[in-house]
Amino acid sequence: MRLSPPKKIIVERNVANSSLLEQLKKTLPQVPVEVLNHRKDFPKDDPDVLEIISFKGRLLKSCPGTRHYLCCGYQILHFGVQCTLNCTYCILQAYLNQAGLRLFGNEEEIFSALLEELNRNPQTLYRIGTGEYTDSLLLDPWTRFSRRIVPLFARRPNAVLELKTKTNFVENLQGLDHGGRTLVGWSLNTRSVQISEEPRTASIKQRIDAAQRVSGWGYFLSFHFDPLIEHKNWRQGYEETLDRIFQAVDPGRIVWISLGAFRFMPQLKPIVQRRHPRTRILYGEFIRGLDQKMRYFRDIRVELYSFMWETIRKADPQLCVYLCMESEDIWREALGFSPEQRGGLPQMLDDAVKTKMSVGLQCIRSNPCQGETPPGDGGSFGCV
Amino acid sequence: MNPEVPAQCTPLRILPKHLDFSQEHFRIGRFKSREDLVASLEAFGMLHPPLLWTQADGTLAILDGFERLHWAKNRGTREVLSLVLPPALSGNELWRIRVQTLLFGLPLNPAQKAQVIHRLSSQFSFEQIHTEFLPLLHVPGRPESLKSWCLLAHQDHEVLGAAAREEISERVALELVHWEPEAMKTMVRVLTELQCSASIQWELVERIKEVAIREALPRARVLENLMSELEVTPQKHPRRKTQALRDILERRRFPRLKEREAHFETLLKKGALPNNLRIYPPPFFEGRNWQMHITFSNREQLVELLSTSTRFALSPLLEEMMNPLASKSTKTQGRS
Repeated sequence: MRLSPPKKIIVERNVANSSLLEQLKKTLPQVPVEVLNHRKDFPKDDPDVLEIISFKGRLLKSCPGTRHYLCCGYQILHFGVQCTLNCTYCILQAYLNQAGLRLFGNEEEIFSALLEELNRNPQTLYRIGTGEYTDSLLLDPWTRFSRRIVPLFARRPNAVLELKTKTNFVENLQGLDHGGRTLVGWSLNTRSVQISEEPRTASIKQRIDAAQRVSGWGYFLSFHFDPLIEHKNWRQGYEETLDRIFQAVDPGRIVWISLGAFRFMPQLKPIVQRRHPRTRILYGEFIRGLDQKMRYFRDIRVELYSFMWETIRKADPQLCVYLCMESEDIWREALGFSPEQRGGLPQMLDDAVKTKMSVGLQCIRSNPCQGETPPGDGGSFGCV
Repeated sequence: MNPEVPAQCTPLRILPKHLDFSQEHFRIGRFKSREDLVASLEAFGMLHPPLLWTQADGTLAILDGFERLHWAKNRGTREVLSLVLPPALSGNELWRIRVQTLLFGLPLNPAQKAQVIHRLSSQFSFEQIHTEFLPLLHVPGRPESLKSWCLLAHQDHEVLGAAAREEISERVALELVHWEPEAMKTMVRVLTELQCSASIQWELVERIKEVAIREALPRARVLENLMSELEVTPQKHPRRKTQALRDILERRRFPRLKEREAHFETLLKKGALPNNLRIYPPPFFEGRNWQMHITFSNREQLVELLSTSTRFALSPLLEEMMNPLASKSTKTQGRS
């Protein structure tokens, strides 16, 4: 997978001395840097510009949950927004009113706020990820962000970090002191979906090869089949991808696999039609769900999930598999149980962390889903 | 806009035979009959003077009043009082004036708007059309819409006529211009026959487009299938025929949902519930909130209905209604 560097870096003056910018100057010496006083002076909608700003909002956000669909209680560490992978289904197209990549230069502040939060609640187990508003590793070859954040978690007794990506940019992870507290997660799909809907991402083979490499460096793994897309020969396609995973890595290193059928806000449809006129993913049997998002008709979702669940169970019946933003009845119908029977979905995932990673054994609380609705009300994230 | 323009017009009595009728650069056809105009001219004569322009060679071209002047010529009228613009005006100035002449008569139909926009597009930049003319014409200024309007202007009399007579809505006309020509023509004929509302027209067009994309078929082929399916229905009245077509399309666009609905109805019939006891699934079977409606007029009837509903609740029919996939897999496992 190749990544074109930005044509320009624009920096907000108050983060002009940040370590992030210093790093970028080293890895991208040919890219001009412009310092501007205020964010409002930045040019709008230029995908070739990388913006570095100072972030003042909430750095840790709860994963979106709604009354009707169960959420995993995941915490999102906000280190940047947008993504240039341009996946056809990505929700970021609809709710971020800027096209360019934006990173937060006040990393030290972000890290200290994070540590403060973790120290304040030593009995709560935090599952923290960075790949919700952008891809965790997309810019890592230039920013080397992973080299600063992974060691931060290495000795935390009550937190694990999940880096989610569709790239194979894992070089910076080699040789880091991760303390067995970082999971590297890949969003996966069938080969045909990758080619048609995620053409700028690493191929499925490249992603699984990268997973094999990081597993060799002692990292734990996760995989996210989100969005699952009903398409021609989908059973065969998903089975092939699962087979590849289990041939390449030891299921014992996989902490969880998530499944999420394609869903989108109705407003996304015209945007995808305009930006990706050749895609067919919008023309499945979608109905308006209880959260007003468009979802596959339930029987199709159940079929997708049941197939994946049964195929995964053949490889490892103990592996933690969960559904992302699904209702209890779909859980029961597709997987034969409800998370409530296992203490709730956050508890299920915490148990997977404790059992597989031996982290948070002393923690007695899960981070509950706060039912917060993020900008745009969620959907199939390009970066999950 | 040049505020001096009105003052540049000179009122002149013109002989229609001296006009250059072959010059139709500024003609914006209505694509529908103007019996009302002819009747008015016959009764009252020409109440508003046509607008002419002196070409470089001295001949007079028509800017506004084509139909009135044709009427005058055909009737053998000797002189027509007209307003004549001088030759010095540029093409842009003439078009600005022409657009103004269109704004205060009958509302422009989509065929007329298409022609105006198409002509303007060869004269003005997109930005100018967008900011200056589209608001005047009451056309939403989306960047992609300009292309659709120009494509509409290039259609033949059948399509433009259907748009002008509003047999197809403006929105539908602008969508159909992106279809393959054969499919577009068929769709125009179907919609003309069905005489349905703009919103139903849009629903039909959207559904056909989505089915074609979903099934990777040309739209013409989808329409062909639909028409042959529609032919076997006994419905002849446009409204019933429209409903039949909507149903066919719905089944094709949402086969699994429709299958589940049909299965639900079959089980409901099998349950032989009385008419005053109805079961309703959640919309699209999404979620867990099923409903039962009981209508009763006395205590005995309610007791009887509650007993019937309890029997039904305990029967395997309800389980199959609510979880048909689970029931199917249980049956399959039982068989194996």
